Amino acid sequence: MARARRNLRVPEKEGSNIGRLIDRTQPISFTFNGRAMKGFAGDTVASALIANDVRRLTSSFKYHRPRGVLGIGSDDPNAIVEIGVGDRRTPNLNATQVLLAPDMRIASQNVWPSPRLDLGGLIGRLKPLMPPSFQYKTFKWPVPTWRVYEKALRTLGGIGTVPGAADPDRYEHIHVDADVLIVGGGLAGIAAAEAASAADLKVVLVEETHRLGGIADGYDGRVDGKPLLDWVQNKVRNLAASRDVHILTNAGVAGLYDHGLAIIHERLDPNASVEPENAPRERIWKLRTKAVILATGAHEKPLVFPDNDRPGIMLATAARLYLRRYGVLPGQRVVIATTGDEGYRTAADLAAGGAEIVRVVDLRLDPDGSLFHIMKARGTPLAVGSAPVGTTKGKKGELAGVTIANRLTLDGPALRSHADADTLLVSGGWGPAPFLAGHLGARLVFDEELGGFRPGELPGGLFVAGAANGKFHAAEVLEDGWRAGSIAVEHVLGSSWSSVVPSHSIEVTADDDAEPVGMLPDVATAAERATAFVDLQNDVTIGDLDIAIREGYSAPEHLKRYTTLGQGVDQGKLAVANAAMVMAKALPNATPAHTTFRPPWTPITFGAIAGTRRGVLFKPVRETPLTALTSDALREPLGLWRPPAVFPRPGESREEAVRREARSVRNGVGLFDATLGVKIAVQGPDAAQFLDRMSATNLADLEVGRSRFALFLDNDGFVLEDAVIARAENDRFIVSAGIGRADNLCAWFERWRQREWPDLNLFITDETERWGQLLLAGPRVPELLAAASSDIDIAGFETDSYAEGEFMGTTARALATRYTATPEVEIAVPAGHLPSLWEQITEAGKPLGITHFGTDTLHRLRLEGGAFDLDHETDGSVTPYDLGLGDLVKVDKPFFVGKEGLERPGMTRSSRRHLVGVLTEDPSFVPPPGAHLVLDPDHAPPRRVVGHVTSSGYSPTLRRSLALALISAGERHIGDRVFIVSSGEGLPAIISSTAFFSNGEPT
Amino acid sequence: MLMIRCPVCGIAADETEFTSGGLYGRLEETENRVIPRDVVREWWLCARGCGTWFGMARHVVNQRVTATWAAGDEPWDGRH
Ligand SMILES: [Zn+2]
Repeated sequence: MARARRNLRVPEKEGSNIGRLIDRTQPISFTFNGRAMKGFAGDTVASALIANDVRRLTSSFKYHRPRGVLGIGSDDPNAIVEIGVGDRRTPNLNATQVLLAPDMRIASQNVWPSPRLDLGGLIGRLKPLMPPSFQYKTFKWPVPTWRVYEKALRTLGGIGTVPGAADPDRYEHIHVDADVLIVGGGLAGIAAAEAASAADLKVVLVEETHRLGGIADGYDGRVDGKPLLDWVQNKVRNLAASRDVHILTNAGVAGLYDHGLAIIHERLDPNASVEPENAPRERIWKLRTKAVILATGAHEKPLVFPDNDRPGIMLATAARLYLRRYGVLPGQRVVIATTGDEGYRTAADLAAGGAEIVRVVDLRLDPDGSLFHIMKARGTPLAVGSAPVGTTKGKKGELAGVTIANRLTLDGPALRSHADADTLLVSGGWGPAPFLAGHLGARLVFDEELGGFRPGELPGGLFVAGAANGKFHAAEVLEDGWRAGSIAVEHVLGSSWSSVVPSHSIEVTADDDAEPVGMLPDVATAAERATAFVDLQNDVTIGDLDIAIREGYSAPEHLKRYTTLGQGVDQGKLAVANAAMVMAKALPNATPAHTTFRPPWTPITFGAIAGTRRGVLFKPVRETPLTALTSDALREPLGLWRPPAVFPRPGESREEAVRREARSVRNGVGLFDATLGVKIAVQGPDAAQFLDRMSATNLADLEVGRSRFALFLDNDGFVLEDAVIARAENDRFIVSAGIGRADNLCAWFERWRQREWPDLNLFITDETERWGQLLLAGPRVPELLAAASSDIDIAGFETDSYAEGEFMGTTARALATRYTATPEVEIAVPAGHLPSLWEQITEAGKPLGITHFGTDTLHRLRLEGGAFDLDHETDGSVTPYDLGLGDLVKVDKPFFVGKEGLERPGMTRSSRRHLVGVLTEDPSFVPPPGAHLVLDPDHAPPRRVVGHVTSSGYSPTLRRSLALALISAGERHIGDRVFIVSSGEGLPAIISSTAFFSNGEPT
Repeated sequence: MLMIRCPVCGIAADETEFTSGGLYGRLEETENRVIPRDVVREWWLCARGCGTWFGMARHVVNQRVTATWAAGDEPWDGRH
């Protein structure tokens, strides 16, 4: 039976500032897990849920313990919800940071199938079986079982649901330059912005919530005679009016990078835009700045004691802010446990708001601050020198009471008492949060007195101010903000700058020192330690840290991986300081350290990362001049290109089309768009020498008008590229290579020309896209060309000839190649002339049955020709000898790129894999590329693999399957039997030469 | 992310517009050299700009760029 929900909203009071951010005249309806609720305009999702007495928001990640709202910012580990439905559902949102909107649909995350019937809760009872890093230890082996575990674990440990449809919203990226970036819009950030803008610098102030002022509204006092809050609001107005300051709210700095780059993730309110339907939903700012000031504040530390995670336990300052801002109480019977004066400040507020303060538990032995004395005088029940050492729960797992013990007697029979309460507010003091400094390599230093990390030595241009710098009193914070702003100005200007620190009369109550407390009680049983949570998002307890230390994983980086401490959506913001204190107690000789902080510090959506680069803009497609004329083609991706793969006829499959096209080429003539074939001009007095140095193949004696197939090696002697080099003139060469490789080859040439041989006189020009190109292939090519008007003797063109002249009315280059074992001519014309040439040749070829063909068919024809394809047969570790192309290496050249590498003994070892043919015994079986080859298929695994298939296909000409394979010492095993491993079976095949077919005849 | 100014065409841009190319010098001089935690001289290519390889001195820890130069215009005597 569901418990009656109380209304925890405090009634409006005349003249009171309570609930100042909500507009009670504007009620808002919303649902939480399908249940209708009401809030007000100005509420956050978290404040609205608290007002509706929603204690349990979610179940924890590992043990499925019920959890509620703990804090009031991005540091909250458990207030993670998903909001919206359908294609607008966003998971992993922090309820404390999202403003409530009308008809919002909010759902718990990590609860399956519903929060009231959480089957995953069973896992909590299995906890003893789930030590830290259980996922590595338990679910690793055997592999097939892991799949079962994984599926179950992902359902149970779900971290939100992926939306089922494409995101309808728009996201964008912008690039901006600034002088000073200030992270955090609290008192320190405001003061720093004021100081920097006073020097007329361009300032960007980034605030992760929707409003500036930080937590100043959690404090009373006066500045220059005005109430603190009014004074802050006035400053904010001045900054907003300044032309030098750009304020970004709802924006988190996800990462800081070298040279002043900051990645900022801004969440926009589309309804605030003049064009809501076109407004982006989120924006990534890539900001380059000369100085960065971290005014990122501090986190109030939770207390670590047994069962410290129940719904109803909240940070003391957060509770005070919920009341002041939204007029909500965390509960009605409140125990406050504090190590400093914040607990008293909250007690005073909550009492005024109508809550019953059951007890204030002060962990200090001798508190003496003015707030302590005020509350004592008011008769608030106090327990000084005591600590919470456990909690009890109600029916739904929510907090029902707190066990309190005297700290001095913990060693002996502790004096324990129990207090019934629906709320426990905790304050372990403030831990500075300068963690973004870690993105720039700064190490933070653990301050034992503070129980937190302070900035250590900072890289140039990075400054920390305010609470992030360990300054907690309003006066100190303002002064520190000014100081940081002023030194940032000096850094940017490169000269000293005399700024006048404004003198303010600040009357804000100063706090007595807080006591850093790591773990309570100081002595606890193993069972107690196993429910004392340090990291509430990843369910890491003191007990888990004990195990990690015992097993030798006490270094911060090890601890993080081993226990998952500090991972996840919140990046362990609230856990860092407490974990360090626990470790300090456990390992007294070690200096507490933190792990490396890495971006993103706050979560970024995938939509924001993608920006506008989605759909057709993801990778803009590049087109050749023939794209419009080949609209009947089936295309395949090739880098940014989409060349035709085949031109299927109606009803034809892709494979059927390949076979038809290949047969037509073999019997007549085929036409192919070869525009993407690399065309690089190398020209100048030293062009010949340059190419001869670059290529392993002899090019010195290449005559004008002739071409030669040549290999280019990398420094290690492996094949990098193959190309046909044509000598157009004595000092001008055209390098033609496979499609889509121009950028690589040009870059390789330039690298050597500029860096190694700057004295050679030549130019390298990528002409690939300037020249459109056709490939004509088939036995009737000479017949077709004989009828064409040309001043090139193209009909009588021999293989390896090259000529320039006029062809069918346009300037042209012609090259006779031989990849497909049939007459082949490449004709290049200025790109703009290609479409008309394509149409003319198509027309002229009709009587000969000319066929358009695509890359699939080209590959099949090349396979029949036994020609290797760089993308298939080589993987960066194949030598010319492996490919059977030793003839192309001119070993007696004094130098060529890769010569030294190629001469290493291992490069000619007889067991190296050679490229050979593989003919299956079943001619219809086409082995898949990548299939392993073994000699003995009946041998029990592991079997020795002697090689693998690199490319394969069915040859319509030879009416059988063909395959190329790299096989250990393959050249010496031609004619031998080998077995192709496919679907667990070994299918027999014979090793053959790669010359399946030559001069138009099968071999 | 580094912000680099090409000494040849003058364009200043993110490092993603450039390509790094190992230690400055000729290939045989730079092979197997140990990289110190200090300023190193490297080759960088103005890949999306003028297409020129140039030299850059960069501190490998704090990433400060102390100099860039066109090949043949080294800020010291001798080519490399
Ligand atoms: Zn340049």
